Amino acid sequence: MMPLTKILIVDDEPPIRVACAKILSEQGSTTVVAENGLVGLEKAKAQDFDLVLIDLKMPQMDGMELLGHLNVLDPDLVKIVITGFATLDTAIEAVQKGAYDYLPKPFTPGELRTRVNRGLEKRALLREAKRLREEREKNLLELANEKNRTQTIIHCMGDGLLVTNRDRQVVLCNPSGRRLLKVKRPVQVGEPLDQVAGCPEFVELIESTLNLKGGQEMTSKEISPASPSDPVLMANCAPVKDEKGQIIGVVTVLRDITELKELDKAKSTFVSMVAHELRAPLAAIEGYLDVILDGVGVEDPQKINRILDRSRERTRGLLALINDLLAISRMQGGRVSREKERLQLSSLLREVVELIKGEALERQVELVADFSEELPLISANREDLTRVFTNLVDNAIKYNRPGGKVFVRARANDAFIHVEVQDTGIGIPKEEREKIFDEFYRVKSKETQRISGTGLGLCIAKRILEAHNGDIEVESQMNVGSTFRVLLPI
Amino acid sequence: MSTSPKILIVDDDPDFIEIGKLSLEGKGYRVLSASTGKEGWEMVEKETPDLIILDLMMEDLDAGMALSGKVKSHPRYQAIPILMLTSISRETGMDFTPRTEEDLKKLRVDDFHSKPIKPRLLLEKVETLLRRRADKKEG
Repeated sequence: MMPLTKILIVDDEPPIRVACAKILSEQGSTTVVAENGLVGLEKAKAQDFDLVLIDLKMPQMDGMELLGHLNVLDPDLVKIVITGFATLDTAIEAVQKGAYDYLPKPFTPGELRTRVNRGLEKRALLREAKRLREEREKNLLELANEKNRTQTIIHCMGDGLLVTNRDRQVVLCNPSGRRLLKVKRPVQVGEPLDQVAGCPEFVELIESTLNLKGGQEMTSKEISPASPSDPVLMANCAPVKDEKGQIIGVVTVLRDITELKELDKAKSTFVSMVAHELRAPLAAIEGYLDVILDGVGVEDPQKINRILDRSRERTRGLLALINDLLAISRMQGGRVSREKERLQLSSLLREVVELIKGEALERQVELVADFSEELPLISANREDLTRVFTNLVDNAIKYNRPGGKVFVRARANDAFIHVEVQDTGIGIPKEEREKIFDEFYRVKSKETQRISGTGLGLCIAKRILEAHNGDIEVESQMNVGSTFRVLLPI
Repeated sequence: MSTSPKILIVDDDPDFIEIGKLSLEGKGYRVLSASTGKEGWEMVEKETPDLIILDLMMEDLDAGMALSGKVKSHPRYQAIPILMLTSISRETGMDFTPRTEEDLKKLRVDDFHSKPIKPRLLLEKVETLLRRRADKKEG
């Protein structure tokens, strides 16, 4: 029989209460008894029941009133009315008040069981219906939440989303899509595609996606901007298919690739600059070799030595350039994180000065080191900073004049170490002072023509100093000299 | 010829000047050099060379063309043959390479070659231009 059913019996006549309880307990139900409506209501409030047997005529609160209360308490509770004066009228009234059935007195245990069991079946049905109803409501709620969530995601996407149907109408266009397509107004569902898409190139792309043959899953195209200030867009179009595999629309994701394009352009400019810089010395070396090999009558050993010296010089320049390029690519790649150590800058500067002394002597430039032994320690990469200061001191000697001087100074304040490399050389024209830190930029003049350089030294120095949260700046006066100032945080 | 011909190389590439000098001096030519169009013109006025080897792109994109124009429109110097050399077409995508006599006239030069040029070919071109000028003088 039905498991774990709980039945409340409300009757003012003790023998009926006891009899009913006994009969129903025997068939496996738990029973609770109450002697009047008031007590019955209390018990119904205290615990859940599947079914209530109610005597209509009771003191304190009669059956009809109790019915009303129970309807409010639990609409699915099955109520069976027991009545001593079973007339059609009272039966109808009780059913109207929410009773499921009625049982006229006197009744046999069999009659009781039949009615009660039918009631319990009803109760089971009601509970199942309730469960289904609740489940459906829960599903609907989830569905609503899911819809909201999807909408929010689409709304917040950084990429533009545009959905079009077979009739070339826009079904959906998110805010990013409107921004990228420069549509200032809200897009209505069903608007013609060409009113939203803007450029014919894009319409064509969607058109071709609608006509994709089997196997092809997507079309992509870079949409060139109508005006140079507009973003460059990458459009990825994927077909939407119905269950038969027919294409019924297109989902397009639009991405702003302007920055990527600029990066790409900068990269290819750099590559072509590198190629140019590599070709120049190689072309010169080839030219020198041709003079010897082409048999144009250069046989004087002195001349041949000059040719070989010049070629050698160009080879050195080429190697220096390649080393600088490797340094730059290492910095750009960011693959090798540079190990920093606590170092004493004054000893590093001293080493640099020591190393470069010979060259200074050769060029008749006096090298003056003016800094104290003890500077505050800084956290830096030794190799990188050696490269920076070697480059600065080397430049100061190269772009100097015979009899000139180079001063290397360093001092510290609370937060920074200031290093100055000052020369008494040719100076840097005002309009070129910022550009000398650019890749391959070299000041072109009669004086600089014979000075070898890769055009990368200062660019590398600036990058290294930036990686150390430092800075570099230059001050210069034509034909008086230049001062490079380096700032490194303590 | 009483003295050996004087050749002026105008080029901002010191290596090219060096290479040109080595090749030409080996054949007995006297070689002068200048590294800008301005210097080149000063040299033309001062030395009146017998031939000019001219780089198209120096301090400006068309410094060589400006100089050739100046030389060819000056009654005293217009007979000086000019051999123009350049690597500009490959670098900038601008193709100045003259293909006909017409083109050469427009560039106001007598011959044109792209860099690099083999020393032997340079010498051949110089010899041809000098011979052509001598023939003109006689004829």
